[in-house]
Amino acid sequence: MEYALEIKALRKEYPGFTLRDVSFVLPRGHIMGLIGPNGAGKTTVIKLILNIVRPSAGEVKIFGLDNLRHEEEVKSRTGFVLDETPFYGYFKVAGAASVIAPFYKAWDGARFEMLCREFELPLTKRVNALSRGMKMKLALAVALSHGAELILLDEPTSGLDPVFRRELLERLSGLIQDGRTSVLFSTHITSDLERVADYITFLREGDLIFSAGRDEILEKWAIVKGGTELLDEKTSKLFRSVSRGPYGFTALTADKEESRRVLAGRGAVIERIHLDDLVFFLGREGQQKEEAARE
Amino acid sequence: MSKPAIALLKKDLRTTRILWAPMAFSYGVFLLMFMENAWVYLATGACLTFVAAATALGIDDRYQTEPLFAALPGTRGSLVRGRYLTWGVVAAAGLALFLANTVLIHTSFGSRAPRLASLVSLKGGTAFLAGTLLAGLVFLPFHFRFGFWRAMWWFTAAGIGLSVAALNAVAFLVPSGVSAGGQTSALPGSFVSTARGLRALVWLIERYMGRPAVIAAAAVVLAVSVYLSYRMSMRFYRNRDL
Repeated sequence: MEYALEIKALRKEYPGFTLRDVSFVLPRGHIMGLIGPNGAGKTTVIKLILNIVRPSAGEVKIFGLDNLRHEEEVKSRTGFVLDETPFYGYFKVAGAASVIAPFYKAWDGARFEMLCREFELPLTKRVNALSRGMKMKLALAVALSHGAELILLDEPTSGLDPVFRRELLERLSGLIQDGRTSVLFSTHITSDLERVADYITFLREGDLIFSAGRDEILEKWAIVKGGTELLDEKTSKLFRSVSRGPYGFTALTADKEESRRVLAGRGAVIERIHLDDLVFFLGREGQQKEEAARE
Repeated sequence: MSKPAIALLKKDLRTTRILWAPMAFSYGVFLLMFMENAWVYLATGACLTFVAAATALGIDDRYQTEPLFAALPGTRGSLVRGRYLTWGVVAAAGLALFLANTVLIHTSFGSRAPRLASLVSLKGGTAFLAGTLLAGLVFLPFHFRFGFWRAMWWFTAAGIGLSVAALNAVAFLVPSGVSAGGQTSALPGSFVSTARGLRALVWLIERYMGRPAVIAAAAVVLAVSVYLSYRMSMRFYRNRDL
């Protein structure tokens, strides 16, 4: 399989935070969602791919090329939206793009203008006067105007209204139809990913928890609900994280079939998982481990 | 020069374009204020050119665009080269503006500023460029290591320290009669030798700067400074997280 992005044992050490040996691959022509609680390292991964921050160790390959040794080439084939949208506020929309255009050999001014029209982004409006959502649209228009084959988006849907968010997701789905373009997309809004992502990578406190196909996740992982009397040594081994309430428990399992087998006929309910549940339970598991370590 | 470095130069020129007219106007006004002392006049021109060159960096700091440009096609090296290129272009433009202003002021106020004519020469041009470029060559490594504002503080501290040390050393290079005299007796002790150094520097420039050998030596010093400054900037910027 041909990969748009290969990350091997990527490590970044900051005072108080370490991204620990993260490895995953994104096959060409697919969308990958990067999820995890705040401070998980999602933005750090994207910044490492773009060489905005320097890795402490590890390797990033884009289209099979090392991102540091072939920096100019891989960046010219990569579009991005950063979590902040740093454009010069006193420039008009058209001017903001004209500052960036000379960096790209394949910049397509007509496409940029067309995207601005589609996004209802007035070319003559000053960047200062744009809302956060509109600035995000500008960043997206820039990212999509030079024929990028890999698009890295850091929280692109934050600040966007639901209508445009849906349109953006449809556009991303449309982009990968050529089988050439790939998208890595970090977000807190996991419902967005359920619509479009082919792969999900979950980070927590700098650790890679998993990176797998969405269908595989939905097939293997599940939410289990039942009375607290079901929580014994055997069932606890099946659960990654358990939330106890007055009327029973809700737990996350990474082995739906085994849970079904063990809990058969005992009154437990096994439900389809949503990515939101995954973020909640795995985030909670992290907190519980942290608390246990402190104690 | 690589395409990204030229793209960065174009970007710097675009982002500062709005300031060119007010800068040129204030440049003229400031020079007019100091026209009676040719060397203070020259130092003012060099300082204003430094400010003009640093403005592009200040604007980038204001809008926090460093991560954006680091993510665009190019390398950290091409960004460093682009900044040095901008500095060179602004210094050249500053020199042209300086010479044009000097001719204009000398023509209009020749009787009040008789010594300005001497600056429109190889000697004046070399002194101006040496001052402007050396300041940039000291500032840029700080910028690439610390970012704009911290670099400004470091540059100011290092600049004052280095200048005072250099001026104190220069005072010993000239005959004792040259650097003595003036109104230095009113200054506290350590400033007296610095003021002597300033007089000695002016004397050295007036006496030697126009000579081909000195210009060649200045060019060599400048080339070595460019090399060292560039290498330091590259080393700092390559390892910096943005």
